[in-house]
Amino acid sequence: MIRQVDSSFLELKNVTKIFGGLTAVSDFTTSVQKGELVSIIGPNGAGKTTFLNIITKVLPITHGEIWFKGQRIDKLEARQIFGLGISRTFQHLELFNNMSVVENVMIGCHKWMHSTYPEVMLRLRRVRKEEREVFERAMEKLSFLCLVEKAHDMPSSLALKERKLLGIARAIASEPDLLLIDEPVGGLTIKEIDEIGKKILAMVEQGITILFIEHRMELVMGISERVIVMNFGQKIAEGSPEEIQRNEQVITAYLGKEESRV
Amino acid sequence: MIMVCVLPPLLKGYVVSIFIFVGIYSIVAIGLGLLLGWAGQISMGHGAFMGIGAYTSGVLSFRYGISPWLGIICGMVITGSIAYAIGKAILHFRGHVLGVVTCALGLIFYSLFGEMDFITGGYDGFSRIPRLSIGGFVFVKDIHFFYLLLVIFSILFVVASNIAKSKIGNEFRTIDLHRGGSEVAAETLGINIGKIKTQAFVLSAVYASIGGSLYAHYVTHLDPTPFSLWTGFMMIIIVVIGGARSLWGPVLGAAFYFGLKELISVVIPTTQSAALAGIEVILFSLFFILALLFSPDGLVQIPTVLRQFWVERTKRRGS
Repeated sequence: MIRQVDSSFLELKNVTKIFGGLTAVSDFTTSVQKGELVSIIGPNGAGKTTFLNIITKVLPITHGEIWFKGQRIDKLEARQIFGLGISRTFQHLELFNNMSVVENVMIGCHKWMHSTYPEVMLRLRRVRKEEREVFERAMEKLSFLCLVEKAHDMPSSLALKERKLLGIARAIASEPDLLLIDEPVGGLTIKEIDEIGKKILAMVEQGITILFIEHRMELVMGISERVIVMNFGQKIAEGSPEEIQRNEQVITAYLGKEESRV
Repeated sequence: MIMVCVLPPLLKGYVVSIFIFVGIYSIVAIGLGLLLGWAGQISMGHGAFMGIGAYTSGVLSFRYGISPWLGIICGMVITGSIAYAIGKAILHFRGHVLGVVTCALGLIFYSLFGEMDFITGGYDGFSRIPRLSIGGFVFVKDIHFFYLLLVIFSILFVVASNIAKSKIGNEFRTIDLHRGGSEVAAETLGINIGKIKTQAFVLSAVYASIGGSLYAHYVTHLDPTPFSLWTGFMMIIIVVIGGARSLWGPVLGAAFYFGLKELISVVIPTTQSAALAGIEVILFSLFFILALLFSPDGLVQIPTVLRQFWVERTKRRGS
């Protein structure tokens, strides 16, 4: 599949988030092009998750502007941002543990369900047809992420890798234009990281733009086209994985001044 | 279910009346079950919503000669509108604001039912509320009212069941924080949590209103006592004891409540209604705590638990 790369797909201008006296994200400016696979790295507490939370309006922005496909989105509600085509996963997964695996994914497909209350109350044919279609869509996503056999299990019975994949399946169920993934491989083995990395690349091939946060450098350096490095809420570097690996400021941020000299 | 349909004609009128109360309160409990068991929201105001439904259809039919059926619909509209206004004002907040606000609502409406004596007859209430009728047939006998109630109950149960298993029911479940829902995930998946909470609240209030109206046209007398804050709490007890995660749970809870209530009045030799009421409050509150501690999924889950226990026991013996 041919990938189109456009400018100004997602643009962040001077984004700042302040919690009381703490500046979690400071004057952050960057952009993501359509079709890109961009990762954000940084030490613990660098402001990476806050950054995703601001884009998806889980947290309100303090200053700055966020634009998506030419529309300013920082004043919109979380659900409206989802409606524009931005979907996400969570570091702590936030799965619906009171629903089966397939029901979790079906929630991501609700934008294709238009039945009215009276139709639902009487369970008319349209309702049943929509439910069937959404179930099939959800099963497709589960099949893509190799979770079909677990479709009717509860999320709590899944292994960590499967739960992370379920988070991704739920997020891509709505067929988003931009997918934000928060730590997709934290706590996983090298083999599992490789499997999830391949899935992420396959999603990019399908036309989904991906921005992800990760600590595990095997994944970040292995699949990213561009890496953004954050420290103390600020962007300290941006470039290809090779450039980032050679960047003095990045090495200092990760290892500390004394260690980096050694 | 077949027994419930066939048995009442063989029973004494007094027992049929217990079946009727179970049916009426089951309707209220099913609505509350959708709110509590699906959307995870607590309402202490269901006594008030029952009262609004009861007084609306009772007053309209008794004082203004309006058809009781039309009165029931008016009650649903008024109750739904009040619930909608409350939901719109507070339910966009995350967490359990609803429990606190509906507690106040229960107190306010109890006072209103008592104090607005020019309409409601005050704390003494008013009687001679018309009975329900269809095409000239008036449902005077308990057994006739029972079968009418069975039809209404069945329709409302099917409607609730359709909602529960639909996308609306699933959206309710996304915000049920007690059982693993996540408001933040729901919001980022396009769900308007304020709207969903309001829908669940309005729906359950309308069910309470229908239950209240049916109560008014069955008992034919209204005073504020059955619509107090205790009724709101009692409805929660019924739903929790029966099991909030199944629509049969609230029905079972209502049957348990009225069954035990009758048992208490038979076993305890007192003619003082206040003493009986006190014993009831203590006993049901104890059952409520026990249910929360040992069977959070309620009586309805007991067969499943027993089956699991039996299967495991058989496996252990086999090995």
